[in-house]
Parts: sequence; structure tokens; C-alpha cells
Amino acid sequence: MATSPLTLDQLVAAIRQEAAVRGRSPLDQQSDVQREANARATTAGRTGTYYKLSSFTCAAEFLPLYGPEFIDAAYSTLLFRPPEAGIMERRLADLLTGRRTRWEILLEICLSGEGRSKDARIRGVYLAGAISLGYRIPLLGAALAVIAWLLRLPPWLQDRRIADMMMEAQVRLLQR
Amino acid sequence: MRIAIATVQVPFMHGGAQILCEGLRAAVAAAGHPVEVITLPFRFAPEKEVLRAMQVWREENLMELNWQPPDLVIPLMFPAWGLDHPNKRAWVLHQYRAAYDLFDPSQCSRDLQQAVDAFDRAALKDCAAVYTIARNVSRRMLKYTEVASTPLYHPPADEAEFYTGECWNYILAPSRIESLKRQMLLLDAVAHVQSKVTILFAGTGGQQKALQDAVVERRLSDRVRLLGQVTEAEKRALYAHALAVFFGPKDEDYGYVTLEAMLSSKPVITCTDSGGPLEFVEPDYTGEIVEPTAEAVAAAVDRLAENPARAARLGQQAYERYRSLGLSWNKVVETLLFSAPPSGANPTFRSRI
Repeated sequence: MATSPLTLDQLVAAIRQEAAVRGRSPLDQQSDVQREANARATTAGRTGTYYKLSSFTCAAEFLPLYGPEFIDAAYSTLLFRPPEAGIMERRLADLLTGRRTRWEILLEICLSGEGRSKDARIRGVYLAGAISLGYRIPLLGAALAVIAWLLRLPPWLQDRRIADMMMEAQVRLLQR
Repeated sequence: MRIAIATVQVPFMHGGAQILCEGLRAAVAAAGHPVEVITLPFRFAPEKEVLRAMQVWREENLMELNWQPPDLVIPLMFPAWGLDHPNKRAWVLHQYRAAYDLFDPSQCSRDLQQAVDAFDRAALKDCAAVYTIARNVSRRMLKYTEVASTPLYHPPADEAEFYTGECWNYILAPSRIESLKRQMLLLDAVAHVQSKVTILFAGTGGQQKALQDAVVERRLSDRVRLLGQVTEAEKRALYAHALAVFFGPKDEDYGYVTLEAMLSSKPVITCTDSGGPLEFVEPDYTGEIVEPTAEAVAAAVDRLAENPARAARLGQQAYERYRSLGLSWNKVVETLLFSAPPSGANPTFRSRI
């Protein structure tokens, strides 16, 4: 019996990486144009069809995502809608400056009024969000980071603030 | 020759019909003919809008345009074939199924049903030739509208971009998530599957939330993932690494999924009442055909998972079968523009109807 060497989260991430590496066909580019058009067409309280990978069930699955892609996936997964333009800009700035990590943003969305009313939930978000907040505590946060490293916790539970800020900056540069 | 492709559009909703229309337009243009796509918006409800749409198309005389009338018109969707033109060669994706095989008196009145039937009979018989995208559509048209037509098959979009890769032991179910596509059947089957395969659903649709809720309620999140809408590149990668593809809709017209799976050298699991896929899937040769029950689907999944070599062999045979079909846009254009429809069934395909 064949067994996959990958976990489900790793499988999905590998698929998306392969798709990115292999490049896009003209139909992909049409789809991208349509995605952008739909995103721009969003108005308050009313959304059109939008094309996003939107059905994650585990916080770890967000690990490969940065920038607008992460924000879109977070909102579409948890709140079943794309983010408003102003919210997108604010969240991107938070990620770029390190004011928020991705897990803290996911946690915020889940705990928001809209998130609670829509029963927004995703496996692992409270753990990842709590640990991420813990890393911010002076001295204790550094100790936690060392412990996490020693225990070889999975990447999404490690202190990735610096690495993530650098990735966000790179994503921002590529989008220009 | 100036060609007009006449169809309807539901704004901001894009699916197989738009892909087919664009493929036809590109193929006609590549053949050197000036071509335009002429569309009008279509509303599924209320019923008076369906009646109004029929009337609007009936009054549309494409010979009386202010500048250059088309020499030939290819209507694709209901009710575009109602337009007025002396040289209509219809290539029917499907009729207004709510008035025929999907008729439900609680959703569609008898008056509308009769009006649609009368409209189709008159308009399709007014066409110089009537083709359909698949034998299943022709069968329905003959049964309900008593109009004979010829199936004319076409390749899926980006045919050359599909590839095959290492098997990552998952069953892929790519399609719009709607009741008729029966993704829930595969989810029900998971409870009976013995092997350690995972299930990936790709696509969105009206039943997406229900399917997602069911995954959570049944605590299958570690084995089943709803990917939502994926890009074309992601779709191809998903096909490439699947153990097999599940596509078991109820009476599908054509089904790009089957052909895409064959192009990716993957066997297809389909059902005895799935319609379109049955024209391409041969049991134990290019895939599995099972009864539409959870147990039967689960058994098919297990047969493939427990013998990946057999799955790979079926997939390779599926790819060779696809190549043997000779599907091409050139052939579609040549047939639509120039050929007289042959009498009888296309001998290339095995009949299951």
C-alpha cells in the first residue's frame, strides 16, 4: 500500500509550491486578472466571487503565506469574505513592522466580534497566537524561544518574528 | 467567413461554459476567420425573466446589424439558439435542464416547462445543423425535445499543460461543489475506506459550507481538506500527484474533469449514473465505475490504494486512451463551419446509452 511521505499540511504546501515553480499558463493569467478584478470590486457589505485558497482547517497551513495572500486567505477562511481595502493595508503594515505576527492576526480575527458571530475557528490558532504573544514578554519571551528551539517545536510555533518581517519586506518589494 | 458565437452570460460567474466559449473563439480566430462573441445576460429566476430571455433572443435578428452581419452563427446556450439567422449551426452545451431532466414542479411551473419545450423545438429545428458537446446531451435532447444532434467533442483548456508526477496517495475531487456533483458521496465513503488515503476537494460552490461543516462534524480534518478555489497551476499539480480522481456527478453533460484526469495519467472513479464521464472511463482499464453508494466508492478507493501499480497502469492507459480520441479544436472548427452532420452515432466512442 502506498503511503505519502507528507502530512496533509505539507502536502497542500508542496502542491502550491510546485504550482508556483512550474509557472502559469495564459488561463492562469486570465484567472489572476479576474481575481484582481473581483478583489477591487468588493464593496462594504457585499462581496463578489473571489478566487482564493480559502478552506484551511489548521493554522500551520498558513505558514507558506505572506503579505496580501496571507491576509486574503485569513479573512476568506475565517470570515468567508475578503478583507476591506483599508484593513488590508493596516494588516500589511502590522506584518511589515512586526507589530503583529501572522498568528496574532489569525487570533485577532477569531476573537473579533464578527469572528465570534461567525464562529470563526481554526485548529491551532489559540496555541500559536498565545505562544506568539508569549515571545513578546521581555526576558521570558527569549527563554520561551530557546525552549521552543530545544524542543524542536514545528516552525509555526517557533519565534519567527525577524524572519517573517524580512519575508514581508521581500514580498512587498516583489509586488512593486 | 464572419463567425458569431452567440451565448448567454451570468455576470461574475465563470465556469466551463466561459472556458468553452473562449476556446472556440480562439480556435475560430486561429483558423483565420473574423469572430465575435455575442452575449446577453441570463437570469435563472424569476420565471418571467426566463420567458423574457426567450423572447429577446427570438427578436434578435443578426442579419440586420448596422454594419457587417455574420455569415454563420454558432449558438451555444439556451436561449441563444432562438435568434434569427439563416445559417445557424448550434453547438449545444446543454439545454435548460430545469425544464427537462431536472424538472421539479416546486421549482419550475408547467407553463414555463411547456414554453421552453416549444421554444427549443422550434429554434433547434431552425438550425442548419445541431451539434452537442457530448453524447449525453444528445441523448437528452432526443428524449425530451425529439431533436437529433451529433456529439462533437473538444479538448479541455490548457491541454498541453497537464502532466503527471509522483503519487502522493490522495484522491482528488475537483469540481464546483454542488449537490449534483455529489462530493458528499465521496465524503460518506471515507467512513468505509480502509486504506490510508487522504481526500482533497478543489473548488467552491453552493454546497461548500455544508461539505466543510460535515468534515468538521465527522472529525475528518486530518484526512480530508477542502482547498477552495485553486489556480490552474495548482489544479494541474493536484492532478499530477493524485492516486486517482473521483468524479461521480449525477448525469453530467460532459465533464472536463475526466479528460483532465486522463491527461494527467490518473484513473477516474465514477458512478454508473454519472453520464458524461462514462463515455471515457472504462472499468478496470482507465478507471473504476461503481454504484453511487458510499460502500462502492470506498471499495474502489481501496482497490486503487492497495495496488498503486495497478492505479498507475490504469492511469497510463487512460492517457493513451485520451490520445487515441484525437480531440482537437481544429476538428471542432472544421466540423462546425464546414461539415454536414453525419447520420448515426460517432463510431469512435463506445456507447453506454
